[in-house]
Amino acid sequence: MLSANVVLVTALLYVALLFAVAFVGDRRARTGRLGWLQSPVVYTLSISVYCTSWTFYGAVGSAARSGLEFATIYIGPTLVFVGWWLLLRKIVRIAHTQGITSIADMISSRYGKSATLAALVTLIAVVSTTPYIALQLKAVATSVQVISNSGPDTLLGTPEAAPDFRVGFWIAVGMAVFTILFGTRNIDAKERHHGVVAAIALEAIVKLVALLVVGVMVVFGVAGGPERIFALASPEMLHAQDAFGPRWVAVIFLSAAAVICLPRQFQVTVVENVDEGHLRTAAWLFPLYLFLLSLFVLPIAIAGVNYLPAGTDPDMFVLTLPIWASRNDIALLSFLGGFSAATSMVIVACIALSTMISNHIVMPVALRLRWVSHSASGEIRRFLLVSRRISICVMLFLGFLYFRFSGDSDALASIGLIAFVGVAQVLPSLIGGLFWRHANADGALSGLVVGTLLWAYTLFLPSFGSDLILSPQALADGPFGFALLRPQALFGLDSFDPLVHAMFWSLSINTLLFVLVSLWREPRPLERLQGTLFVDVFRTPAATAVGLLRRSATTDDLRLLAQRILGDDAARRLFEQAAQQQGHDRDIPVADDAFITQLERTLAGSIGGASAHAMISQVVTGETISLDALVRIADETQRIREYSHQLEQQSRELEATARQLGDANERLRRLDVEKDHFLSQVSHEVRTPMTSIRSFSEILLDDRHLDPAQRERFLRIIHEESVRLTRLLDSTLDLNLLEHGETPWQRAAIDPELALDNSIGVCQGLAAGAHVRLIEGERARGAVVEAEADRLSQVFINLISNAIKYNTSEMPWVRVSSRLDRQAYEVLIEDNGPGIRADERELIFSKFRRGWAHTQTSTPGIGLGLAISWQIMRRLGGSLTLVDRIGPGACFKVRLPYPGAAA
Amino acid sequence: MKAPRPAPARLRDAAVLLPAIGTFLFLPPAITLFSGGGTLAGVPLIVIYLFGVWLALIAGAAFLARRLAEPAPPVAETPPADETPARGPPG
Repeated sequence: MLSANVVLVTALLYVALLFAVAFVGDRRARTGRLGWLQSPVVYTLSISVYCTSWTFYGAVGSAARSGLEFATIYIGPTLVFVGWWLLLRKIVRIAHTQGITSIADMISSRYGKSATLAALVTLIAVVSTTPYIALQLKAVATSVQVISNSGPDTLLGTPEAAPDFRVGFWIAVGMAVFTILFGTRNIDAKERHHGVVAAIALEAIVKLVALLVVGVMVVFGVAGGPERIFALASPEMLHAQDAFGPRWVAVIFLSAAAVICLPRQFQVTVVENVDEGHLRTAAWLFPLYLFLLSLFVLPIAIAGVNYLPAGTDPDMFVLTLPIWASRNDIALLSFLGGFSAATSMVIVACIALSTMISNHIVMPVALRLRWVSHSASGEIRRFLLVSRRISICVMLFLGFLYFRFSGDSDALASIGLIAFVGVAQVLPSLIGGLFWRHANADGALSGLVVGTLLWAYTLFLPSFGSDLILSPQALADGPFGFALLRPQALFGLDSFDPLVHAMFWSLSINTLLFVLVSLWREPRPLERLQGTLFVDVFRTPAATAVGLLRRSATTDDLRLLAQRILGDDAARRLFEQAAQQQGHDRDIPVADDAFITQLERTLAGSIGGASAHAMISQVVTGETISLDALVRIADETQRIREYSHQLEQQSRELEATARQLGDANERLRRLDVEKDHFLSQVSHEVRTPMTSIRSFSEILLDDRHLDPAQRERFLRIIHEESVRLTRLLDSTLDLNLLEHGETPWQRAAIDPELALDNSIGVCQGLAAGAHVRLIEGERARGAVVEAEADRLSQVFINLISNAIKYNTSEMPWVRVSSRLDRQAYEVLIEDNGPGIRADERELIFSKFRRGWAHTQTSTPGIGLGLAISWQIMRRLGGSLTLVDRIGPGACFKVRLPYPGAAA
Repeated sequence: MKAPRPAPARLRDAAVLLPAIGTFLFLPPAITLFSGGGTLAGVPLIVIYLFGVWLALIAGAAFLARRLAEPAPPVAETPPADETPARGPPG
């Protein structure tokens, strides 16, 4: 038996230690040396605020009464954390990008920053948390009495008299001081409380160690091994046969919901999270913590039932077993464990709730009633801090009152699960808001209101006991005798446990209304925008979200607002930083959309999304949501369309490239064929003179008796053929040079008429010999072109001589004329010969084509003349074409542009 | 130092599936398979089963958490619609 003084001194020393740890943590955080404060292990330990004294003492009691059911409270959170990738990761990411400060802020921000929703969620949280705080006070008060009780009935675990309210009161005061000191030191932009987190982490270790020590003592010290302990348990005690019914499923579901939705859980898991990567550790470490905490619960319960006298309160086994075993040190440790569990819950719950109350209830009211002056700098910040401190005191005082008036009834025992059902009303709106774009504020509001009313009617009010609010008669027969409305058998559903019954009605109607109303009503633009940012948080880069909301404001107004809320220093830092980011040398940023959005987020981190939006709205003008931008990021089909549009474009580009390649290939093949053709033509052309040269020279060699005249004739043929051969080879070389020649021509400004006159003169003899009349048509004198005179003459001579040579007309004539137009000098060479056949017209400028192949003339050409002329004209920058015309004969046109004019 | 890469798809699928498997094993009817009584080394089978599944889930979560690299950057999770540079409101 420990004396009350020893217990009190230990408790005070322990509290002093907590203050010291919190103080050191806070100081380190403020000097920027976060170190271990930011480790994932500390983060995980702080999440264990889930395990309250209700868990610490109550789990064993529950195990003693209903066997394995106690495990459900831990299995739900285990499943949630093991599935962190799906849900928690998204919530934490959203909280980081949106500056979320609480569960109410989360819901309100998602549904268009609705102040109503925020206030409603806050109200639900306060209503369900106050009795919970009372339960903690009661647990601590009772444990103090039990451990310091020296009477004979110590082991019964029930204090001889009414609970000691004085102990409860002073504990409440102590916690209020602690919470105010470390929980409301500042209104941080991120609502993080490193000192508190450090203290909570220490308390988490204490409660785990305490329970493990008691467990080890019971299993290995008292009983002598696990099999011995379980041998003591009657099969009925495990309730294994009927444990896995609807209640099993319901409590697993509820605890899973609670670990997300409980304000204190949201505070430690989401708001206090500094690094998303910490979730990866918590994903397995927190389930492991719960596992270890549950490991010895069943053995302790079995030992308590068997060793302690009948009638002992099972909820105090953790404390009474060490006393029974005369291990005062372990009893004291166990007391500290329970004390830790209770205080950590109360502290975190008070911080979370005070934030919610001040941001979502006090602040909107103050703004509307103009409680805060609009000019004083830091005014709102001070106002918020004061309102938070007052809310903490009020919360604890309410908790104490609740404890005071229901302390000796059993009403508190089941408040844990009742609170779970209460906060679980937020779950449909939360999950729906995370994954369903169309979910909207009206749906969330109607679901929440009706669900909460049903919860209050079917579970919360009946829990107060017989004479408060609901009379026993109303409970049994329904209000005013309406049997269908019996609170614990609504609409005749009476075959279930009250908890399952209440959960079924409240959550199903809540979800149904949420879905139906959301479907029925269109979300407002701001809801749609926020919905997109929430649902697509992993797809929408933060930069994209900026500028969706288009507003304008003066920098001065914004600065004034920031000063009122954040204080002078913080506001100045924020503005300087923004100016730097915008790249100005002055410290005044431009109030563009991005900056207003950033400022709103920062303010939201202090006063909550809804209030921040309301305050920003007071100073901005013309708030519009850029629909184009919203649609672009919001609409899935739009996304896909854009994607497929890009794909189409790429495939079009590929097609074009492929077509070009195909064309190039085709051209290469044609060139290859042309080359083969050319080679075979050349060989053929060379072969004919070679053959005649060879045969005539053979005759000359073999026959020595040829008469001189014949010999001379043969020799002349050989000579003519070799001349022809030389000419052919020269032409081929010439053409080759023209086609691929790199040597530049010496072009000079010349009078083309001189070259033409010269050419006509050269051809006069040929014309006379062939009896062809060479007519000079109209001539245009005075033109100047850039060309090489010899080459140009070559073209003219070639054309005129062709016209003469292949003219088979009865009265053959060739007419040469020239003319000028605005850009070029032209020469036309016409004849009245057979003309060019239509199917040959395309090809006459190719090599070895004789346009006149069909004519029977005695002077075959070598077929390169036109090709050479064409190439010459091309290189001179002019052209050689066959003029389309009706009538006999052919007409070639030589065209040379003036210097500087296009051909 | 390896650059953080987006987690392979099958690991991400496994991370989503793990709580589903846990739910299935913890809920009736699966759990009732082991509630019939019987002991293993003196400990009731149902207790062994419950804590065994629990531990297996923790091990699975630890394994996946280690293997899942940093969350994939937004671009990797979306079709490249996000890569279009012009994102600001027109005008």
